[in-house]
Amino acid sequence: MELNKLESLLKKYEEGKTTLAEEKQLQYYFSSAEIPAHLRSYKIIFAYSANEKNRTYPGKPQLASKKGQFFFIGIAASILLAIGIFAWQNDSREELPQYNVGTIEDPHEAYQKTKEALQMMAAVFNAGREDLEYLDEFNKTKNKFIKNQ
Amino acid sequence: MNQNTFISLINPVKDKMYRLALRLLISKESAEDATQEVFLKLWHGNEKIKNYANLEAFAMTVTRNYCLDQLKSKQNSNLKMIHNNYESHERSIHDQLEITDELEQVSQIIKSLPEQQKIIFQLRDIEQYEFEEIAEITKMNETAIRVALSRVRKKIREELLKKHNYGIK
Repeated sequence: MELNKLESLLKKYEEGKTTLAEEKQLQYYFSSAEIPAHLRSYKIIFAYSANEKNRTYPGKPQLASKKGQFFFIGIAASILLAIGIFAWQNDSREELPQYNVGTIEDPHEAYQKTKEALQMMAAVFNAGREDLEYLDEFNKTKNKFIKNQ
Repeated sequence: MNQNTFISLINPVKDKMYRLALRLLISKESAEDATQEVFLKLWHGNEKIKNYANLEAFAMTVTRNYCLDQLKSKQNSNLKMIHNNYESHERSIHDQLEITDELEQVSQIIKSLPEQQKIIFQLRDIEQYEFEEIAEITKMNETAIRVALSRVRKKIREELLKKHNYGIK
């Protein structure tokens, strides 16, 4: 390539105006051995570009990721767990009345037991009500105050 | 689309994707991981790919976006600090020893450039894409690409000349 043409091409190159074909021409030119000393920097740049193009992806494209597999294992495990808990709860609901609730068949005995239970409850309520008597004290004081006004 | 079709479509592009990832992420391991992640992204969304006339440009866009996201998230985490320390340490050793390999010098200069310029240099001067294709990949307009490219080319040469004295007339 003539030096004149080369210089103008390089100017175009630096301005980002060269076409791919022109850039290939430059690359070809600078890959030859004899380059004027003042253009040596271009030789390095073009050599670098050519060199970089030789890098290749070292692996093979894989379309199943490990992440994905664990994701599905996670979903499967949680579904199993949910089914397990559901089944266990159903189980215990069925078993409950068979051994835990004291069902009394004889009506008389049932009446006595119910009465006992209600009385026990009433006693507890009364004990609670006794404590409320202190509230009367408040009322007395309040009434006194209002009358004095 | 089945897996084999997909792989045969992606095979011609995979090296370009890897090189772009390597340009942005610098470490080979991260670049490999990123490329693999992008394969998966493309594969899982492969129904969509049919709509894209140009799979290559689309794959490159996804790679670019993925790498930029990676860089952003690295910047936000503490890892970046460690990475930075490591990098600057490495650089200072390089400075002391003075890099003798001229190609390595170019690579160091490019490392110091902003991401956008790295991408454009990679796509044009290494992968030799047409400006139209670069515009499609980067979603920039052609004028902006030319301006950025011109800046990169001048910058690399300037820096090279600073390190050596050849070129002085």
